[in-house]
Amino acid sequence: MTGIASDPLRMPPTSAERSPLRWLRPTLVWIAVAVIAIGIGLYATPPQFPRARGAGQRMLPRLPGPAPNFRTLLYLFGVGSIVWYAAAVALPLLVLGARRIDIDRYGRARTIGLVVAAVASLVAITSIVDYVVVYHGSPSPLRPGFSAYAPQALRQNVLPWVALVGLVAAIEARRRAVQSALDRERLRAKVAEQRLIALTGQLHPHFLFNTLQGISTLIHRDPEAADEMLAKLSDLLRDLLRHREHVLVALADEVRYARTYLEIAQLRFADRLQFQIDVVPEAEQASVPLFILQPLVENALAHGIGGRTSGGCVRVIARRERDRLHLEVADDGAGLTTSTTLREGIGLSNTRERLRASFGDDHDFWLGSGVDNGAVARIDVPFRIHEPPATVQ
Amino acid sequence: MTAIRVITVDDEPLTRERVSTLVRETEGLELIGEGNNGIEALDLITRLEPDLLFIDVEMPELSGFGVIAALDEARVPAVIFITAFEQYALKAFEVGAVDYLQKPVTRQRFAAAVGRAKERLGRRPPDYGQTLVTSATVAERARGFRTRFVVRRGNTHHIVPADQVDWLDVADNYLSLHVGPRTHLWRGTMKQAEDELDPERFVRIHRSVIVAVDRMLTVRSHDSGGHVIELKGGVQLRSSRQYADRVRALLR
Repeated sequence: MTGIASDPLRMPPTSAERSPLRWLRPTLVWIAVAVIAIGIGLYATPPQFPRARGAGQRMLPRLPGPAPNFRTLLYLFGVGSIVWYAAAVALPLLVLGARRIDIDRYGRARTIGLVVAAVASLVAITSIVDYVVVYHGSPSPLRPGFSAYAPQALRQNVLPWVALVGLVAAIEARRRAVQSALDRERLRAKVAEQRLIALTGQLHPHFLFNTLQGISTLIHRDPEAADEMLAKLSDLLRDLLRHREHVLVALADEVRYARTYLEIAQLRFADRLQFQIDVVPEAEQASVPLFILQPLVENALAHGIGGRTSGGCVRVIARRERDRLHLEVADDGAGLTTSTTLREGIGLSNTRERLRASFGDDHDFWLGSGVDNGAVARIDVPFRIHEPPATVQ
Repeated sequence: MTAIRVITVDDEPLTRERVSTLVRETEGLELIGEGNNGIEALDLITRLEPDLLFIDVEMPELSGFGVIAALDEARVPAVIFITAFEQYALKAFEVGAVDYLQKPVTRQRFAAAVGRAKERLGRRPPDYGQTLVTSATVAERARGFRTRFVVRRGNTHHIVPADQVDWLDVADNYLSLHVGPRTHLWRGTMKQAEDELDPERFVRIHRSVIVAVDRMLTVRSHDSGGHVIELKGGVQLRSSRQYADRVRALLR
């Protein structure tokens, strides 16, 4: 609907761009290398091998005699290295496989079984390929039976595959260690950010300086009242400083903060503000994100009272319903208009984000019009008893 | 020498109380009125024509800047802004105010501001009112899109929330704000309204017409290259070809 053309959205890479296909190219290259090398090797096969010298004897290529010639080398690089070409071709698949194996989900025994099965089948496949390639075209009297050939082939092929799988596992283990360190770091940054959002949202300069002005005024007229207001502001600042290390607090702390805040506001606005806090004791034990109530109270104050000159009432409600905690902050102001909804967008998206950080998708946050008038903010989250942190008080 | 006639305006009763007390205690100043909000301030200023105004910047409904911006240029008093937070103090200087006071207000700082005000009232530049009104308009614009219009009937001022306005058109030196069946006259220009209103919510469809986007019901192309726009409530408006791009942008 806007007249301004929006920039085309940059799409994140799709899964097709990222995964298996990107491994295809090296695999194809290695297959080509292997085919060429083996072809040349076969073409160059020295007449002396393979020489069947009866069952139980060495049948696989060995350096023939004292003087290896060029053809021998070609043969060894081609036919003699089949297992290594196979390893090169299989490497990306092994890496992909290792990445997908989730030990936590599969269990240790199943994971080991999986790895052993993989190695066994790779050894078997390589041995069969070896047999077919090496004795390709040999006259049948010279060709040993596969069963006679197998023990030799196994000896030759087990070690490379075990080494390769071990290497892949080591690389994958390191990758996972780096990744989890990265995840931990990201999580830590996210928690720090949440805390910052929580704190910066708390004491608006406007509130602070108007409160200080209130105290300053009362000093001249009513020193006792000035004292009271100063003490309340001190309570507020103490709470602000005390909790700055925490992400989750007991609802009781939140309610106390909201109450002090509203009491100060009441002193500032004289008869223009009424408030009511209706929190059942049971709900006070609930664990909630730090300062989750505060922006809602401030909003109610700004739009319910500040938005009008006649004054109004703010209501804070908290109750537990089985395993859920309901929070509600309502005012009896002018209610929501398009402009207030737009303006509130930023503050409330912080609230939403912080609820998500603490409860995942298991939360509900709703802002709407009150039954008669005014606006209502409702939060519904799982009820969890708050465990005080183990740190020294 | 006659006393300087003063009005104080703040939505925080305790701030106003302190400033008013200081005014009463200062020789050469006479407190003639106190306002609780922007609209009261406008009514008082229009009625009493004070020499000096102490006014809070951040007030609900109508800010201190909004009050000055709505004043008649010929009858602008000297202004001292009161602010809770510095970010507005700097703006206050830009709007050509005499001075600003930060909360909490001290006697010493108050006296200094009054001294500057006396000096200013003694030699007032001829374009003082115009400068102040214009720069207050700019400062208010910097605080965000216009959310309300202040209209004046006689000596009383009324607020018309911007989101209640269906459409606006030119009426001589004023703009007509059409709110349902009613029409209010607002002193301002098309250009000003277009600049100050949220372009997501108001669109200019003609040299002399702006429409609230969410009030539009149907849009029909017209042979002239323009459009005919019907609003909820049945009003039909013509948009000219010159503004056809903006109307088409709404249809995308």
